[in-house]
Amino acid sequence: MISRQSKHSKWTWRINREFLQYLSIYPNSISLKLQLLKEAFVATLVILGAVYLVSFIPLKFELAKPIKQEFGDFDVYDLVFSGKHKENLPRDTNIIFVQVGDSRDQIAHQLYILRNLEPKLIALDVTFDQPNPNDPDADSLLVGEIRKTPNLVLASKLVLDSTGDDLIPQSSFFVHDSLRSKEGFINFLGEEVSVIRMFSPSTKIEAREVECFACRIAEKVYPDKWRKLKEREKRIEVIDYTKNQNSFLSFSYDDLKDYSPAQLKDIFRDKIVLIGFFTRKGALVMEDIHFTPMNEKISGKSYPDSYGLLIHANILSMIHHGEYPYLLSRFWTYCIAGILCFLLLLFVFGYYVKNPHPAHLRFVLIQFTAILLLSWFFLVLFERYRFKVPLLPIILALIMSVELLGIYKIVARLMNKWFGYKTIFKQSHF
Amino acid sequence: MRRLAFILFILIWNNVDGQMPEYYSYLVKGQVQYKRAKAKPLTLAPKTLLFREDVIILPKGKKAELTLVDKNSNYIVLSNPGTYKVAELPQKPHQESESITAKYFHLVWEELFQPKKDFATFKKRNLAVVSGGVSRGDCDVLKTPRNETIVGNTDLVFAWKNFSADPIYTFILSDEKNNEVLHLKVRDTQLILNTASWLISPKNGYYWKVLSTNSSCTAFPTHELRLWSGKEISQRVNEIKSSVKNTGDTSLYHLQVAELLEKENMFDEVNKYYKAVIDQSTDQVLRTSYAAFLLRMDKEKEAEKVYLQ
Repeated sequence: MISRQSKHSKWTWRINREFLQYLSIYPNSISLKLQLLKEAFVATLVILGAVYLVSFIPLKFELAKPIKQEFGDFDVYDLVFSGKHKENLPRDTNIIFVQVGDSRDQIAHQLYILRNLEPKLIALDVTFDQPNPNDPDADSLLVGEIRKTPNLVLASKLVLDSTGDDLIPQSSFFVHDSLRSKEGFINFLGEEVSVIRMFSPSTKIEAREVECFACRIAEKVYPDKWRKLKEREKRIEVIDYTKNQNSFLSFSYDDLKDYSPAQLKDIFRDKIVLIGFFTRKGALVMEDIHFTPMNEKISGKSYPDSYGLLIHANILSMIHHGEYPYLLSRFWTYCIAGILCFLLLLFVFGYYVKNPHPAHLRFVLIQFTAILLLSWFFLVLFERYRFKVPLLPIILALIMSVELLGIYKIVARLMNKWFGYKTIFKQSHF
Repeated sequence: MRRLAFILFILIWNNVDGQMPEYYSYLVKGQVQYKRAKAKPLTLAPKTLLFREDVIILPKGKKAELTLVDKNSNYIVLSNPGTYKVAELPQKPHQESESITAKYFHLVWEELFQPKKDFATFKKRNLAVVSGGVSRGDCDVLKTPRNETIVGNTDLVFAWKNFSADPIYTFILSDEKNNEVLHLKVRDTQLILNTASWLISPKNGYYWKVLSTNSSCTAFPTHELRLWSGKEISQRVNEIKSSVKNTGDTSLYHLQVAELLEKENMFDEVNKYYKAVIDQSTDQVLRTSYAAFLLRMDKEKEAEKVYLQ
């Protein structure tokens, strides 16, 4: 039987022995510090590699569905756009919304009325896939009005071809060569029920540059600003949601008939008119409606909040002002993740040197606090300067820096055994 | 001297503030009218400045709509028929956005300590209930007295539609200076007020409305009420009677008097007049005309009874 006293002494001896062993490996504090820096650096590389591999895990299998549903569409940056201040967003008097008519002859009639009101441009956020065999007259009327409207932008859709590999633009049935230059694709980046945060200004299809819907409008009405967008040469842009539906004047189909033409002309002259699906009040029209960061609920289940027309209008407004949020590239994001992970590991290794059996809870608390404060810092950075740093690699690296330390220890010990790699984890009891 | 300067400054300040318009009309659809204090209603044209004391009138059944712009450049759309006092229009106060730090830490707190999916017990946040079915946005809830009615009765009968899931309504009667004369909680869709008991003195420019917290309406219409004394009423009725030429066709005379009374919004007097003349005459034209009047007053059963008599 070992007495309580002798047990305590044995523990004390083991700790002291380990400390003495450190001193024998690293006789002065400078070499110890260098060793810690080197090991933190190598461990950081191992952890970043693991984070990079994790990013390839497909969240398609059934087990991952709850995670995907809860966090898949979560982005803490949505907090910047979500909230009650939406009521007081500034108005954009350059853009007017018009609710699309219920039938093709109504849309033709709308185009006729609007053309006579002398707007700067009319953009029709509607596609007409097939001719209507039951009402060919309405089709002819619509096509006639479209051809008579010179300052018109039409919508097209990007779809995958039969092989499922290449994108092709799908135009309305009446669009041929002369109308191609008036088209812009209405697709946003994301799934049908994703939160729309980004858009692609243009894409190349068979050596032809296809512009997005809002970009095509900008090309016609703000050519200088559109060139600035092209000079940025970004494949994707973050949408800065500065406007909601209250920011734009909107008219229903009946309004165009009920208001006096003189009054309408006064309002519509030299304005950009967007025609599309939306409702001014009452029940939502469940057509072309999306989730955006402006949704009151930023995670979990909720109702979609914005019509496609509003998203196009926000993009157009952003191009007009020429101020784009900056999205940090993946490379620089990993660099930031690496630096933060390195600093955390240095801190953790320092603890290991002082005490080979540090309390794990302490690291968890430090990790949690670091993630909380860093997320807040980057959120403030985005709110003030519209500088967006993707947080997922950073948070994953910080979480895994402690959790995956065991893997590094194994790798370090194996390298020590095979190549004589110096490590503070040489002893197996670590 | 310093005091005088201070008083003058205050007076000038108040004067300037009082002259500031609240809204301007941006878009006007249909025959929208507005009325300044003690003036006749005018047709509201776009780009008209509207002040606190003004009253906007959206006529019933004429697809009238008004888009106003407030001081903060917010749009306010009025599309339900009724009388709206500019001072009581739903304000859109400038709401400062919650700071991003507060929002962020609020979210962290919510996610960590108040999980929304904790449905084990009823809490304030998970006491969900879905009430109602559809809202058709019909907030034209006031029935009688109709807008701009002239009444001379000692008992005023106010009636409104059952527009709320909550049985308690708030009835508000105010004067033309927007001072509340009465503010009552009512557990019904009708209220009878005795003017003498409630010390409501006869004068023009009373406004009444009914509110409910549990309703889909965001803006509640106001009806104007002109309360005249019995003497004033009988004087005006006599004036109208004497203004109509009696050509010998008594029915035509009665119809013209009733029409003029109705045009002046003296609906109670029209009712009394028709009742009196029908008792003395068997003319079916008068009876039909009376039934039509009752239909206009939304009294279908009474109209049917009069017509079939």
